[in-house]
Amino acid sequence: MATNGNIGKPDINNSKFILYLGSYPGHAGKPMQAIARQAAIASTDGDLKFAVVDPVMAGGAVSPLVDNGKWIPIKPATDGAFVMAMVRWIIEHQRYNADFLSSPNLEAAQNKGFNSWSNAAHLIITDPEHPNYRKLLRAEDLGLDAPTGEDNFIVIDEAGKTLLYTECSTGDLLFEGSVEDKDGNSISVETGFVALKKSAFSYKLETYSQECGVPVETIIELAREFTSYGTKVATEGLGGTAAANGVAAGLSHYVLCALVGADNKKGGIIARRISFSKFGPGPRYKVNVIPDAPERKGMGISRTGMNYEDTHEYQEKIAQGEDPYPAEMPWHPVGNVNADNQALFSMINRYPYQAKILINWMANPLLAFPSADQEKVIAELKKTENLPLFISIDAFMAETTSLADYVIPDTTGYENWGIPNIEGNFSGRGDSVRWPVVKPATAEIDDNRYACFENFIIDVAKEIGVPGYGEEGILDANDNLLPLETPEDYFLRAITNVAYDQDPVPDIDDEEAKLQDLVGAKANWKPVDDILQADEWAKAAYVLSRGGRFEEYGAGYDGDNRIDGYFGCISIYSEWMASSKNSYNGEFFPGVITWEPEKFIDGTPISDYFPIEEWPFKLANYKAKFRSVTMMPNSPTLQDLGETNYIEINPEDAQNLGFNDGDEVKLVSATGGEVTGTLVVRAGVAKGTIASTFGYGHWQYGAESYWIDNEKIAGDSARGTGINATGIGLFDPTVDQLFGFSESVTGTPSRNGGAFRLEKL
Amino acid sequence: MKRRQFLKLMGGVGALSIAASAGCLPRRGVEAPAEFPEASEYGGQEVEATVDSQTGEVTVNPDIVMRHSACVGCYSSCGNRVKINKKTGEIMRVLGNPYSPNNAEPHLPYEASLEEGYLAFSTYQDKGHKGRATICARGSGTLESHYDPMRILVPLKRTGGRGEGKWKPITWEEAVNETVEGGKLFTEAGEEQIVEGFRQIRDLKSSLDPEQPKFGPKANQLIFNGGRGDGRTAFATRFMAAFGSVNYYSHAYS
Amino acid sequence: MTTAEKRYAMVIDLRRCIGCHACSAACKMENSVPEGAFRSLVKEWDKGVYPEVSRVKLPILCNHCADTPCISDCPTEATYAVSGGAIVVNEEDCIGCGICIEQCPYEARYINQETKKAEKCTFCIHRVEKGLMPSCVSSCISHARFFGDLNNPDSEVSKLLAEQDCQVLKADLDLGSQVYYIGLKKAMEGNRLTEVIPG
Repeated sequence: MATNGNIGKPDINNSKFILYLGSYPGHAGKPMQAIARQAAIASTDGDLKFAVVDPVMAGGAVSPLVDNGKWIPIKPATDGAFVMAMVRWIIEHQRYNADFLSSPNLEAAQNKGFNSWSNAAHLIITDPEHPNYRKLLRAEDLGLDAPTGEDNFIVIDEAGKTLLYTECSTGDLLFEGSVEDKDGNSISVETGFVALKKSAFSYKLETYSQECGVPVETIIELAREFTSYGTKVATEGLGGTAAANGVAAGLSHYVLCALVGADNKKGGIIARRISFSKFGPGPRYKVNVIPDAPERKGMGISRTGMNYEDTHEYQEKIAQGEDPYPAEMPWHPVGNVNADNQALFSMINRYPYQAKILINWMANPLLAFPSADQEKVIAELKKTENLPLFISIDAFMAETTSLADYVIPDTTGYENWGIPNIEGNFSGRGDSVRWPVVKPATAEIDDNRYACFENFIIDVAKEIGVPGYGEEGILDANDNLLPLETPEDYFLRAITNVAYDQDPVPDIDDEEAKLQDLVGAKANWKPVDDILQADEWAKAAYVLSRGGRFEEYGAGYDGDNRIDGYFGCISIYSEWMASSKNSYNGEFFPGVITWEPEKFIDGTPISDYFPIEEWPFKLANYKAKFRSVTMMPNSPTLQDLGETNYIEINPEDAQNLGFNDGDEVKLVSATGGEVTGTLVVRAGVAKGTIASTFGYGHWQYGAESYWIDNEKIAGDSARGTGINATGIGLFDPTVDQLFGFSESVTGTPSRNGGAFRLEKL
Repeated sequence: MKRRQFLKLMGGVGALSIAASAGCLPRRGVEAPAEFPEASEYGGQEVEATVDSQTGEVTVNPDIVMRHSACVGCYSSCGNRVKINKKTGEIMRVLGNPYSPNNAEPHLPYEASLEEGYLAFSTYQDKGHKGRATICARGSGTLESHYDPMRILVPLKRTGGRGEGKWKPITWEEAVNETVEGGKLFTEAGEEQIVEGFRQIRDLKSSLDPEQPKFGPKANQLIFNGGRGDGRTAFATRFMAAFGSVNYYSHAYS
Repeated sequence: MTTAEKRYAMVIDLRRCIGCHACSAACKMENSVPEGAFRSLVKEWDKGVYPEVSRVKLPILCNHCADTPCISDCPTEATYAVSGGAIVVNEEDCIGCGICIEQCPYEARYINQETKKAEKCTFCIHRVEKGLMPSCVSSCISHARFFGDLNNPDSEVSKLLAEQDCQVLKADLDLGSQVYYIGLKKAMEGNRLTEVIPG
């Protein structure tokens, strides 16, 4: 979540209790392997306990042989209720770490043995008449002298004195009242923690429990566990809680860990993706610094991470004296600008403006995006007036690619280069490095250049004179301009940065170079001597030979503290969220996490449109074990292991409907989508839930035939088995345009939740 | 009979040979490396090395090279150890990279020799237990995707309406020129519209909507969607920055 | 120290198995196992009473029995034991009659429809004889599988057998199974809710 930075992942090997909410050890999460290994071993040989709160029991590390780990069923899209119940109990029973929360800055927290800090003790302006209503109180609001150009937040210390947050070691966590500015005006304020407390106390535990289906005793047990091991506890969740009311669930990972001060502590939450220098200005090259780059201007098409109030549309309505709300289509001010799902719905509606060229690269949004895999959406994408030029760069005829005007072949992971961030669950610094271990199978364009994404970009850029490509394309550390004409020009130099960062790596010796057959590998590349300095290759080759660069096992700690990490403020109160408005009804968003049921963009609960009696199920869309997002329906081994997927429901729901395991059933979404599949009745699915994996239900990717000239490329139906349940996700009926049901604050799609029913065939 | 029903019938423990009575088919589709050299009369692949289980001495098979790289079976960026038949250049198998903390625990020290990498798979001192470097089922499946006989290897252009599945192969130069210059590109599909290419869209001065200049220049009408956390997205963001469009999207929400 | 004679065995810690099937896939790749067949597979079933439900994971493969009907009942002596007790099939001698498939209590064999011969797990003896671990062990992401020589008291498998409560499947048959499980008794007790693994 954009308000808190990338704060990290559970330090599984050193943790005592981990709450998985939207991630599943041994089944899903990044990296699946390391999480599975560490959770499985730590919960059997060690004393790690964990709970997976999820609508679906998917095996993984949850086993009757392991007493330390269990599954807790929860209704889809109610994670927020569960989390708020935990927060309420923790506050009510004073199980939070007041020492941590009352520390208003990093130094104060570190002096008390913590390694992160929050704004729980910072004051918020609660006076609706105040010009900075809902903002955090700053020195300027009180007329106090303070450094310019900084956020001068204010706290009240234990003696009741207002202080700059940097000058206070212990703030009054529970303050609620008024403070005076230098002119004697009083301003009503409360702390972030008080705001959180009020939100949590909005409902009783019993109400929360009823909403999420987790018994009160279980909530209390988990809250007690979570607050029983000091800072050696953590939470984890990726997109698993993605729902149209998923803000609380998403932010809860920060809030729960902040209630005990677990961030950047051994056994708590530790930073991930700590890299060596690679693409940015590095020790040898500045590969991503573009000489004479244009200044980018304007608003992205995604309507996300931007305020509706900043648009012409809004300002025009104000100028005309009209009510500016609702906007023509939803805007999501606190989301990630890169909201790919929102960009798609913008493109098909030509709002806020028209897209002219779409490059889709090794992505399959039609299958991946909730609500997208429906005829209505596909029909809009096919219209050239919506999207005049559609280029897809792909290795396979995937669903989205099948709609393109041009398809540019891409290489596979054995043929191309890459320096991915090493994902979580390693405490040290590291980068995986991928390099062409075999010759590309794609068409050879010219000498040692093969058809692929990078070469297409290079050639297009050269053709129109985009800066940073061609003979004078890339900068070395001394600002000399060097050619960027092949993928090697780019990646070998970035890899050289990795090799030279901090203490340079050793040179590869002749024996090892021979073992890796580097001479053979280089035969398919532009000559390395034309890319690197003479002394650089031996070090770059060392990095290639190890598949990257990784610090030693167990690196990254100073005693009980993680060295790298997010050391900015953890927002118990998000000023950004609190001062942003819903673009349909003009209401402010809450600044703290809060429970609300799924609502359409205009604020109407979805149950008002689609009564639960008619639409009794919510969807839980979970990871398939034998597919990878939309990839790999074309692996016969994975087809063997997981031939198809199912529509899975709880036995009690099946009994109420009179349905049996193995029945062929139709899954119908409240806004019209439907798919047909085989019913599995099992107790590992929460009541009221339709569980279905994603990665199935392909209608292209080789499942269907196509023609190149007159040659038929025959489809293989084994690739097209099963259903894509999330694809028929809801459209928002309160929006005039075709718009996938999304969370109003951030634009997160409704991957879980919605309104569905089952019909027997 | 459907696989699932069949599995159910088999029931019980040991229903391993699911094809034993249903009849198994030869491997379908994927044109895997033609002939794997077989190791012995017992079947299986030729080994990458022999390790003396008493002394730990490694004798590398000169016909096979093991290269450490990174997997793209999902977005976890695990390492891999790719087993390659040196003579044919074909990939035989994919294992885990013992130097990567995603694959092994503990992973090998960075200074450890490549020989240690072979020992991580050996029975010598049980090094292949604690030091094992693994790859998941998806990681294995990725190799089959690589050898998918339906892989796209040359540029294609549609000759029917979008989604009709009618294509023709075009040259690299045609693909670059047509997308750059635009024009009446789809007459073969019976379409007369004139399409703007990259060159026309890369206009950094004109507003894309003169009435709403806040949306920025026409260059913003190039939208990029893609990237898989595979360590290549930096190349894509660099291009969009150089092109001058704010509209870069990747696997962020979906 | 080791004796000249080896006795290979596998120990599988069922507490650690997460059912990822890395082993199933690696085995197929290593041994070119035909489509639809497996030499090693993880059997999974759900257990418990809602909401307390969890999943048992049971990797299964040939048990490389010391006293096995697949050897004694083979009409052409195509099945035999090699070094360390690993049971293999001589493809040339196999007539594909299927008797061994019927006789195997672990259902660990299949007929390759292309060659019409019986096939099965070999303990990856082609790797083991070269000092390498079987593929399923090398691919086991949660470190549940162990392989080694029981005649070497210092081997990890010997130590696991000595220190842990290890059982074999279908112990009552007394076939001298060489695949041992940690946690088998608990895994097999109680109810079974769902046998199928939804994709």
